[in-house]
Amino acid sequence: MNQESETESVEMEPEQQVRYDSVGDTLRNAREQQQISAVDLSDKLKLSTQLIQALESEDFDALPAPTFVRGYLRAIGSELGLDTDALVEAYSNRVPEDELALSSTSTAARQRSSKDPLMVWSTVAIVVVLTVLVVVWSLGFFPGQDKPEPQANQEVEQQQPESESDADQGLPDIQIQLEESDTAATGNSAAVAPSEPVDSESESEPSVTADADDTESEEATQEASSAPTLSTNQVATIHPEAPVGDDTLVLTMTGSSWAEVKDANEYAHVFGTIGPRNSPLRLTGKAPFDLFLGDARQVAITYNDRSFDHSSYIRSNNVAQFRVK
Amino acid sequence: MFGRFFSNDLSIDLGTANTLIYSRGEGMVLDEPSVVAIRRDPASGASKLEAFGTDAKRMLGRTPDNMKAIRPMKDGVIADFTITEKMLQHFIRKVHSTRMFKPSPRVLVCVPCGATQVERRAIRESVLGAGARKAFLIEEPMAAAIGAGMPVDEARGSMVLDIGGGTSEVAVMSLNGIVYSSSVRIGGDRFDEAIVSYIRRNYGILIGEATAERIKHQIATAYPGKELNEMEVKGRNLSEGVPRSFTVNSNEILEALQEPLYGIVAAVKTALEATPPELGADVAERGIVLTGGGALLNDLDRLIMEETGLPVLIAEDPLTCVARGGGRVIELIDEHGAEFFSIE
Repeated sequence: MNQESETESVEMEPEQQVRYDSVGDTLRNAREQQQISAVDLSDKLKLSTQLIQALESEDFDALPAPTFVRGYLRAIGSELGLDTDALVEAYSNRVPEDELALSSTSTAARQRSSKDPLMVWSTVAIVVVLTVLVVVWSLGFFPGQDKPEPQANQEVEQQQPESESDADQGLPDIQIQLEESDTAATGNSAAVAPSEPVDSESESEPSVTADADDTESEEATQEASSAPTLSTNQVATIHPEAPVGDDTLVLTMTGSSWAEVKDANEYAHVFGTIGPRNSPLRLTGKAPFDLFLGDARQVAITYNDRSFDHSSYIRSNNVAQFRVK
Repeated sequence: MFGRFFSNDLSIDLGTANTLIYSRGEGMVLDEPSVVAIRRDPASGASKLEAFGTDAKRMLGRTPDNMKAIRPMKDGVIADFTITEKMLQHFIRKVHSTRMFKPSPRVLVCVPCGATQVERRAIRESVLGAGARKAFLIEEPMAAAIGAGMPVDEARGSMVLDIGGGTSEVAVMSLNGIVYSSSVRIGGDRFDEAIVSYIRRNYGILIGEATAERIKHQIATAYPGKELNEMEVKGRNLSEGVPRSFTVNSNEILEALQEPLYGIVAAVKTALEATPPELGADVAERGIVLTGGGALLNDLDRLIMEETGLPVLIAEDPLTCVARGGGRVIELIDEHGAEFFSIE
């Protein structure tokens, strides 16, 4: 209540605000005017006479921490009928800032700096950069699914084991042959089109052919589902303008492996769960081939009819990335 | 770092009368009475929280049958766990109203030094239940002393008397630790109760707690002063049963407050007796610092000064010392680790 009434009076008479230039002189003059000795004042306020003298001579080194001094000034000021707020302000002006380090005002000022726009914006920038990195990483992790080839003229032959009905072939043989095909302008653009292979072949001559044995299609589907990154059994994307080589690479899987293969000009990809167990995958392209294999211990590689040992490239997580040439 | 982006560290002075929240980087962000209004559905018996803080306090003593305005804290500790948790949840959300995400700040809560382990645990769980990521507890007088700007890190004794709504805490500190502390369950609420019972006894008139609080704020004094203040109040005459208006003066209120005031003085004297002599000498030289809402009672410093013979000073902005000190303690935890203070 008292605080409220004081602030009201200050607001009503702003020009009559009291200012004291010197704390010590103000105290001494007021005390002497009222003919109160330092000893009387010390008895009344239970403060030592040395303390009162130190205040009057402004010997701030002899005084305790500022919070105490402000308390003394308020007590003496109200006893002598002075404006206590003005006294405290005059003292605060005299005392260097670092001595007031523990006071509430300076603490608040320091804390405000943590709300600095620079800090907020740098945090926002870091969050954005991290988000972008995560997006880039995830795109890089699923390249075959959502990255269309930049050129429009491409042909894709895609195999859907469920769509095939001729289950009479005995060998689990998958062959993907890369051949030059200038006529292939009617590309099935994306990798995941569930079009029937028969239709594709009828529209365009089989620049890429893929034959799968469907007797084991169920098993292949199960294996596909066990590989989280891949939804289709095999995906082959070949650029027709790619110069095609005659190097052959045969991958034989004995487990549920996946593979990504790029040939020398990087136009040819094979990316997928490569099908049923013990089914060799035959690739023709231009050496060198860059391979990225999952479950690499279950894969045997034959390059130009010679066996290739990749065991030294297999990492502890059973993934291998290497080049065959 | 990211936690701070989503929500600021908070220091909460969970008081019997008022809850104050100091947000690191923003200063005092909340000062509301610790009152919650509950509406009970007579058909289903289900309760619904109707209002918190200032809105709820306006309803104190003015609620219909199906509503209740209650104070979930009593004597500095939790009296109603569920309601306290809901109230804290409301206040924490309120100070984060502009954020998109649910706030989960680190929270430092000040507890009375007399609080038992069970009471401390109740406060900690209540704060965690209200959505805090981490809860620290610190003794109230330590926070009050830091908030008042006392040099508690020095090897010198500093005595603080924090008079809150439910409890008064007196403590002597040195080297960032509490050397002696005691807590008496006397505070602003006891002053109000004393005024109510004095007026009922002497005037035969019943007044509400809100009226008693108004009398305390306007004319109450702790030491006989030069001037006599009067105030007109209204209450219900117990024999006639009708509202009556009457006038009380500051001397009567001083008489009414004698018992709780001397309870506090006795606690201070006991503390001085129990303080090691070196630290006692420091206190005698520099004085006792008063904090808390009770420090605003007129001439309370004078009373303690006369009773103890020591200088007594009122801290700057005594109401917010504890919450501000808590905010500073969070900073010090970041700088020096939690073991820097006796923090739980």
